[in-house]
Amino acid sequence: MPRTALCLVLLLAMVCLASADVADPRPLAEIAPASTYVTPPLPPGQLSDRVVSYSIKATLDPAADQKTVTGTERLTWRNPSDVPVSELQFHLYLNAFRDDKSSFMKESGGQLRGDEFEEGGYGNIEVTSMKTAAGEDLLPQLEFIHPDDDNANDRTVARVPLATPVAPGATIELAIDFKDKMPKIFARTGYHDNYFLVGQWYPKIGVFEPRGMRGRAEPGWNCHQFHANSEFYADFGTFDVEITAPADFVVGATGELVDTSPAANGMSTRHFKQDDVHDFAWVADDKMLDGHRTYSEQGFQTVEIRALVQPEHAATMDRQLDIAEKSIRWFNENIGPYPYKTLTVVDPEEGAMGSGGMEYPTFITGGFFSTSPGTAPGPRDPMLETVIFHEYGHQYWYGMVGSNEFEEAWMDEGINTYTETLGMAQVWPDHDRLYFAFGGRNICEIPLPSLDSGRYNRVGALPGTTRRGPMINASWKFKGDYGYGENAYRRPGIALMTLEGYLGRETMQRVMRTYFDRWKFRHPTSQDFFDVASEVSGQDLTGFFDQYFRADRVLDYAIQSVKPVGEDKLTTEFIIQRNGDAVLPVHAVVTREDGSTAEFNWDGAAAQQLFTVDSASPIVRVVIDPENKVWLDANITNNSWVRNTARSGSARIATQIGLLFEHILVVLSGAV
Amino acid sequence: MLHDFINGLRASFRTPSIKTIAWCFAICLVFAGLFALVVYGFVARRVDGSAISESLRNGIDIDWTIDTLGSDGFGASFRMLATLAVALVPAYLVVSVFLSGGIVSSVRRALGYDDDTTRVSFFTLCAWYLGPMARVAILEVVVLLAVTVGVAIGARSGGPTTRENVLAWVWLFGSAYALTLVASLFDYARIEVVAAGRRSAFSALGSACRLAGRKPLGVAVLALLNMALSLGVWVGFVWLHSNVNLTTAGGVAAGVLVGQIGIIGRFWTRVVAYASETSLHARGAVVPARVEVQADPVEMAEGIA
Repeated sequence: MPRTALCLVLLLAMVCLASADVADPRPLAEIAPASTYVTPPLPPGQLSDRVVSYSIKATLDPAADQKTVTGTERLTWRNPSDVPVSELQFHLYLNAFRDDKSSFMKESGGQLRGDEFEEGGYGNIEVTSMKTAAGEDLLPQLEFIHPDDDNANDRTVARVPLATPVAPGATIELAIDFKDKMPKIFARTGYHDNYFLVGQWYPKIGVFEPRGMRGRAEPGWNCHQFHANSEFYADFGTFDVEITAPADFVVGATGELVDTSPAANGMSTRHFKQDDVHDFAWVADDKMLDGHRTYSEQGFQTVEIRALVQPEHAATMDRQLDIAEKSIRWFNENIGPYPYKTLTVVDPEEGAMGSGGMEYPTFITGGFFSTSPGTAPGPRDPMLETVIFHEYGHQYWYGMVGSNEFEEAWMDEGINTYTETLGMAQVWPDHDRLYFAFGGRNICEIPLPSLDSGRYNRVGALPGTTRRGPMINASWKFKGDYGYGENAYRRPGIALMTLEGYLGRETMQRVMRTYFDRWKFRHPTSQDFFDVASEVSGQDLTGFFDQYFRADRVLDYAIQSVKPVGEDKLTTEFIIQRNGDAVLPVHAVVTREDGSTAEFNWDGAAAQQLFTVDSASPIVRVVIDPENKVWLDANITNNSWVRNTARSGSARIATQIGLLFEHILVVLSGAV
Repeated sequence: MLHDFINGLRASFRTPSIKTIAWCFAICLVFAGLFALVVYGFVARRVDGSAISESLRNGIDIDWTIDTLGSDGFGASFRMLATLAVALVPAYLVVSVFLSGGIVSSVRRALGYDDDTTRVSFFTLCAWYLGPMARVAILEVVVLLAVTVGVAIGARSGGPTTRENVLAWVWLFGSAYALTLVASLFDYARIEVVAAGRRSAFSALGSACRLAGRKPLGVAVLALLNMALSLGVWVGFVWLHSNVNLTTAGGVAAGVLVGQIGIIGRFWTRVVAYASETSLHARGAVVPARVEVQADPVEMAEGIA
């Protein structure tokens, strides 16, 4: 069947999907409605509605007995809502590492993303002064709150009542002094020797969501505690940050370096500025190498790429710059333009991989995850491209499209996993390798089967029939690291690949571009993404998103039987059965002995469907989803029927496993 | 030591050695064949009649693997397979310990050292030496585990300091050689059990160490030669096997055949090692007056008969 005709059939089938009656007594997960909040018109040159403005002066003390950052912050906050605001709420993220009683440490048990919290490596943030521009001292009223879990020992969110409420549209200016005791590197931030990755480090105001923003019925603060499995959510604004650190330290940060000036005691002050971002992070290290490259392409913002690479990884400097450049190019061409003038890529030092693989606006950390400690990265260490490409993707899904990572983690990690899958397959098509290390060195690499790298996400989201809960859920409510990874990254990744399979890559690309264009520098909900997908594809995709994002339906269609009928056997009947409770249009192809084929489509709604096919030439094969588009299918094995199956496939696997077992026996017996 | 190695090679082609290899191979094949049959049933039950069965001709299909891991009942099936494997491995190791006395005796016969046991069957000799061989095996497992842990710790902390992968290979080779050397000491201990009739593992190992002390170069070089032979056979097998087209039924059969040749090759290199070590041992041993054992194997065999 011609491709266009096939697409039409599939589109029609998708329409059927929307009206499919799926009986499931369990309610769908409640999700925030679509946003109705209208961002005020922006002045020329301004990309976002700048609700916040931070001006911070910070001094790093790297001495072994200190490891502190002392700062003064001038925060200007505008009330974007139509109601007066009588209290402010702040994130004090570093207090997650204050002791083992914080919600973060209790939930993580001191282990996160394969990284272990080092004994005695605690850190914290202390607000030492907080005053209004009028000189009103707010510190005595500051109290810690714990809106998510009632953990009285958690100090990651604080509220400050105001004597005079901030009127709608008015601003308040605060002068805040704070002191960070940096933790030993763990969960994105901290120090290791003289390497400092300073993230989540300053008193950061929460998001006061106006009526209609993220579907909110009434205005209010959205300021969650720092959890083991949660990331961030903040308002866009401007950052003007002066970092004073030892002059011989290399310092990299969010935004543009506008000035460097000497300071007392062998220190130097680096001045960074960046508009239209919602966070600021920086790195300081006494040994990093500083590499630069300019990305320049007609029609796009020129970007100064900076790679801060550990000396032992010096040989990978060009490679790291290449990856960053290719990442910028791919996203520019496929999703939308990157508007910032800088991108800084940080290579964490050995022992500091807890800060690797993280995203901040215009500032990402990569690192070598797949090599052993002390390992020189192999020339094709498979994780480096993946990590940098993934973290760069967050410049879009988190950085510019400012979804709420606390409440709808799939919107940044899941969408990013999807674009990572596409991009990696296109930019580094032969990327997948298994590496073996010995004595701290990669000694062998084995290419994996040529699959889109994202297909391996199915491993992490084992289809099967086990229910895993809706993907849309508060991130700290997922079960452990795995549950979060599965529901925030892998399941949405393969669900979006399935959606792409049905919509077609071109339509899906339009969906992604439209979603980015419409929601950049704003705060969308899941529903906003769903609405864009339906609008751009011209179909109501509610059924799809309800089944896989708001519920945990299991998708599995199987060839139940194939048999010739009638005395002359010139007709064959085959039955496709729906084993799961999810419904998706089914496309099947029948192949006859003479090589001719027939295609069948079914809306997939009934429990089973009988098909009849002319079999003057006997049927040799019936296959559901022959192009493997339905990544969500729980059981691909039952998708096909083959007449006279050769058993050599099973025999090959069994004999190979048997041979391997035989070798193991012989090797082991050599020792006795 | 080259003389011993060549002696070993020659002895490996003599009848007692060939019979030994045949027995070892047959027993190993029974264990692995049983496991392969169960695996075949497991795979065939899931894929026969589907297109996946065809794709498995090209090797493991990642999607099928993922689906199988996630499929209902996989846990129970996997537990069954794992239990079978876990049961078969120690059972085979016990059988290997049982066989070791017979292997060493046969090799000695092949070298012309033990004429007085020619009338005794292979398995009778296996049974005769079971006790001391078991003790040597237990001691060897303990020592090898300790050495392996030491090598692993060394690999993590004291590995090569430069960033060249070639040094990693050297480091890997060095570690493998260290393990081989330790294992060869225990081979000499087994030879002591048979040649000198020692019943104590410590006594046999002590004697083997003394031999190594007297002929350090010979022991070291012979271990190296045997390791090289074993590695060469293994590399040859991998090369040969990787060149078999496994996508057809004939190819699968050829793969099985090549695989079994590889296994026979592994047993052959083991026999060569024992034979060459026995040759070295015969030249270097301060042979004590043969310890009077409770019963002579020949007499015992006659008794059994």
